Amino acid sequence: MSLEFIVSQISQGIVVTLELTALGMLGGFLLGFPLAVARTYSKGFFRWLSVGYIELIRGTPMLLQLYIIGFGLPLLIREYFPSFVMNVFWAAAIGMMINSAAYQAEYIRGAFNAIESGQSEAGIAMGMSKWQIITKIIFPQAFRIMLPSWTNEIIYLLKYSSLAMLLAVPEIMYQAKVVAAATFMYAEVWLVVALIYLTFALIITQVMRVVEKKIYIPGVTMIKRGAL
Amino acid sequence: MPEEVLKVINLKKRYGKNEVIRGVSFSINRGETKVVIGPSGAGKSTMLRCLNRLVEPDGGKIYFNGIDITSKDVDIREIRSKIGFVFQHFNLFKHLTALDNVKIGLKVVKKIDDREATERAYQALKAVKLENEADKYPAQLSGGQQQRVAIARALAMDPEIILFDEPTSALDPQLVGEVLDVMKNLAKKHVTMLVVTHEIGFALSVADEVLFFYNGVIWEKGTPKEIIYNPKKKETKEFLGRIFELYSRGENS
Repeated sequence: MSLEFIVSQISQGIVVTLELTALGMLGGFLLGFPLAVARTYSKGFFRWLSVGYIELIRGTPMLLQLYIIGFGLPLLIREYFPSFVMNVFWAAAIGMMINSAAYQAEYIRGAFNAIESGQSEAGIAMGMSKWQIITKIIFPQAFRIMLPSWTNEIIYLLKYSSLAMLLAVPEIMYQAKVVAAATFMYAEVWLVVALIYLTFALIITQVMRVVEKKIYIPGVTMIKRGAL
Repeated sequence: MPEEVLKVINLKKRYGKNEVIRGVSFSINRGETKVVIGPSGAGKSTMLRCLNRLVEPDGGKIYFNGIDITSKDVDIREIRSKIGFVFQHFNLFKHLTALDNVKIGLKVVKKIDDREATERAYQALKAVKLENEADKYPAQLSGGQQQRVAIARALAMDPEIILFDEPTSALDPQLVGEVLDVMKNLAKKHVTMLVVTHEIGFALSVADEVLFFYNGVIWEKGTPKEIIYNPKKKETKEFLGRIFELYSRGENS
């Protein structure tokens, strides 16, 4: 058994891992953005709903959330639709979206709060609606402010997508476990796995650094550090 | 007969038990410039912010072109789009260039197409002599330039009146002049303006009327010369005395 065999086997999981990460980020953003808006700018029911969601998700382990969606939910659905089969890939992807949404909502909220009230006042004074102010004034600035924490979240999801192996989703860790069990080359397998994750984490960091520079606007964020 | 753009009757605002505005009435006709002076904490800024309901007034009526804008039935966003507002701290949108700062209201609020919005924004920047800085971001402009862009931003919307909230108070002394020059120009072109400021010279040169604000009411009002050179009330004299002392400091020592 050669090292090449190990690498090629494990590599079959790379696409699945990247898909899970990308879907988790995208779904997490689409859900997290309205959660952040609700928590920051609304009162009453929607604010309460957003706070409840965020605290619930952040306060429970992601593994538990994946188990509930992957194993608990299908049992419940089968009560009414006995032939229902849960696709494990989508169970994991949805679990990651739901989890990431809570964290992204907090990143976005933090960035919203970092923007001076004068910005929205100027929008109000010229006759913009609340929604126009959020989308045209607040978000373009907030997005740039939250980018570093967003990079963090991508890397976090990349690594924690490995939990999907426990739902038998054939991502990197799952493939690695199969190869390791077949070859008994545990040390080599885990080393290769570590290098694969590290490589992608570094690529993501580098890509995001370029993105940060590309969309940099003086005065909104800093790119060069000051005297410190 | 002169046309009343803005008429305020018995305006009131309180924060908790603190009555900030205690019954203010005045009006501005089209083409007029009125200047509001008075000590800090007198309620000048709050009063100005009530006029476009950036701050909700607690009592009184505000008529804009004859329409009561304190009424809940009124489309306040539509009204705000016709009332320019220039802030003490400029409040330019940080993520937009000077040109886009001027354009955004035309596009988003007035729904004007991009080509015409660009054209109008350029004209407005030209009016404040900043057409060469159109592509710069606010952080790349001086305070005086930022405030001139903010004036262009208000001007481009073709407002019925522009409200100025201490437009030069956040500026270095050497930058005050360029902003005041732009404002004097507007006054000469009969743009209707209500200006809260400490710039007595500006009031003297262009104001049609000066309102002295004190303790949440208009304490005294009159022509600039009456108020500034011949104030009748003790509080007005004291306030102006302090202002003159500040401006002439060092001259006799």
